[in-house]
Amino acid sequence: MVLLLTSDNEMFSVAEDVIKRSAYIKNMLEDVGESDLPIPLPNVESNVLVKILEYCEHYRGEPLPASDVDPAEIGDRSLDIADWDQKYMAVDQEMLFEIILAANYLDIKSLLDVGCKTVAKMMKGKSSEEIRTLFNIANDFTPEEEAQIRKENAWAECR
Amino acid sequence: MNFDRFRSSTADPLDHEVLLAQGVLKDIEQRRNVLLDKLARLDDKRLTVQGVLSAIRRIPLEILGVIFTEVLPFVLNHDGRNELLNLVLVCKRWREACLITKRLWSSITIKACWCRSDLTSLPWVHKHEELSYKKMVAWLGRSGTIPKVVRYIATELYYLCGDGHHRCHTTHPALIQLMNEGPPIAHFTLCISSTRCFRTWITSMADASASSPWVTLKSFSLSFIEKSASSWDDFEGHRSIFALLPAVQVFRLYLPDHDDAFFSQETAEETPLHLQSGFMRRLTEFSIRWDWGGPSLFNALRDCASLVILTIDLNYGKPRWNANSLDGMTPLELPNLHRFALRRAGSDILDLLKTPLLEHLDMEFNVDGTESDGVSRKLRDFLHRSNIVNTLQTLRICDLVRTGAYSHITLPNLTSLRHLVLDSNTYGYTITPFQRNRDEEALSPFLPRLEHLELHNLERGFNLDAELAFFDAKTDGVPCLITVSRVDDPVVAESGLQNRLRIRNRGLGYYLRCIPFEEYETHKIWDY
Repeated sequence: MVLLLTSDNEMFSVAEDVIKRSAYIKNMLEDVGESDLPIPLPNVESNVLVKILEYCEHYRGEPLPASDVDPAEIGDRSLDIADWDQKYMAVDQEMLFEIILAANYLDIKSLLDVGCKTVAKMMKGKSSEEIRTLFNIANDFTPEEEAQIRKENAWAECR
Repeated sequence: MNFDRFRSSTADPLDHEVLLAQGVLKDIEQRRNVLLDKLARLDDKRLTVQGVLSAIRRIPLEILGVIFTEVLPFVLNHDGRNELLNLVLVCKRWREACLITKRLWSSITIKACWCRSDLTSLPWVHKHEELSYKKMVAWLGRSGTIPKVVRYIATELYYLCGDGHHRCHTTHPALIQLMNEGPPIAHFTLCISSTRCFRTWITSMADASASSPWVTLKSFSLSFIEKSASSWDDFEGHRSIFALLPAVQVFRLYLPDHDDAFFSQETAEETPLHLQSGFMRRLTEFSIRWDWGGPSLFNALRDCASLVILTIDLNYGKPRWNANSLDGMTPLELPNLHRFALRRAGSDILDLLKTPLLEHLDMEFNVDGTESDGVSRKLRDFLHRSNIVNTLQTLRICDLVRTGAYSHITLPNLTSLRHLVLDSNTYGYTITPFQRNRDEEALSPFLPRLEHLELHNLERGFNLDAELAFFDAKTDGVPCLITVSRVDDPVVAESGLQNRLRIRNRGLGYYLRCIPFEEYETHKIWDY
């Protein structure tokens, strides 16, 4: 078992083959060897780690999908998200971004991919204003700056 | 005044009561509006403060960049470009994330300008397009050292192109300038309507210097519109349009339909492709859309000794090659080919090829049932002839149409196969080995190295018991992931399927994953 200590000082005891989906933990275990000391995770809160462990438990032992497809040929299929992953990612926005941050920190590539695809799907086809509203982002461009960017990137061509 | 008595009465108010009520009501509405304003300001402030705490602010710019690459197509078309601009304009931080994600800026699609393409307005059009050259260079400049892709589409309203009244759209000044003086371009796609347009383009590039993007291209797609209004007229070898191609290593050639390019099938079959031997010898990757029949494709392939990747799209064409005309050429050996993709074709072409180093075979048939029955046999003969039964790593079979009775796919025991994809075929897959004797079966498990089995777009009726039966005999080997999607069943309940198939109990190391069904679309196979 591996002990993990979250940023809010909660201790988790996790099976090694579950948490080894995290390349960060896997490398740490390989470097340090067996130890009774908990691994501190200063960037992950307990409620987020619970969610991360749910993912690792579900995919326990499972091989990663082969990536021998040319990305130029797969078209929109690149945004396919497996059934279980979709349900797993059906969380509020804050948790979604916390999962992405934790997956990035713990180096769980498959989870980071799913998180990025989930956010990408939310954004696809939306205008700047709709994206700002969706994610509660303030527009810090002045109207002049916005007009300048549009001008720089508008090419003279017909549709 | 107290209005309580009106709560339990229908009595008419007196005149002074009406006036008073109107005044009070006005006052209440004013106070209510003040409170609503205050509430709106509070909500606004709450959102702002929430935004400050939002995790999205802590997402590193690099991760935002990964998300953006998921949002946008691999090569940006007009809509994709607008979508990127939408991302840039969200806020300054997102703009920075876009700018550090160099891949987002590495491609452009230019559409010919049709708004004033008649000769009288030519000066205006030229000025209009020259303006865009600097912007295109600035755009591509943001991609740094990432290989750049330029795509030019001039195939709409093709009947007007270069007919004497309208200029040919390959004379686009900004494009010519870009391919003469612009930054190095790794891949260029030119979508045009006729051989005449391509000759015009070649003339435009006649003075390109040795260091120009055109001459130093590594990869080129020449795409003729499928339904061309112009007949094919490239009959003389020494004046062929193919004689002046840049010395690329990757060439994709999409030829027009034989029905539109030629007056008769015989002419199509007899027309050679004047692809130069030296040019073809250099190619490491070649894709071709060709439905002309005859030996021209095989003559061209004969020179492709360096070819590593080959895609052949027969455009739903029937195999029209005459065995006599291929005498001495078959089986055509492609000694270095690692990856072969077949599109919109039958399996007959497998009879003509031998590929001893092939590792990846991807076949999209898109033909009616008459072709389907022999696939297993032709595939087996091809694999044995090429001697790749023990070396093939990935196999994809797509869009095979059922004929009459229930069909199934039989495979030799591909001992190195890691990834098997069966997609959009109109029947289930009983994946079985060719008949083997008991000793052989005892000695060697079937598909022992299989890591990933994908079964896509299965009809709802198939319960997967038959499809996965071979796993029961797979007693050892590597763990295998099974990915499934079904027609008319957008979300198969993964857990339910797991339990019903007792997938966890079949032995350690088999995992099932369901993904949403998605219509197979043939247009996705193109690079434009």
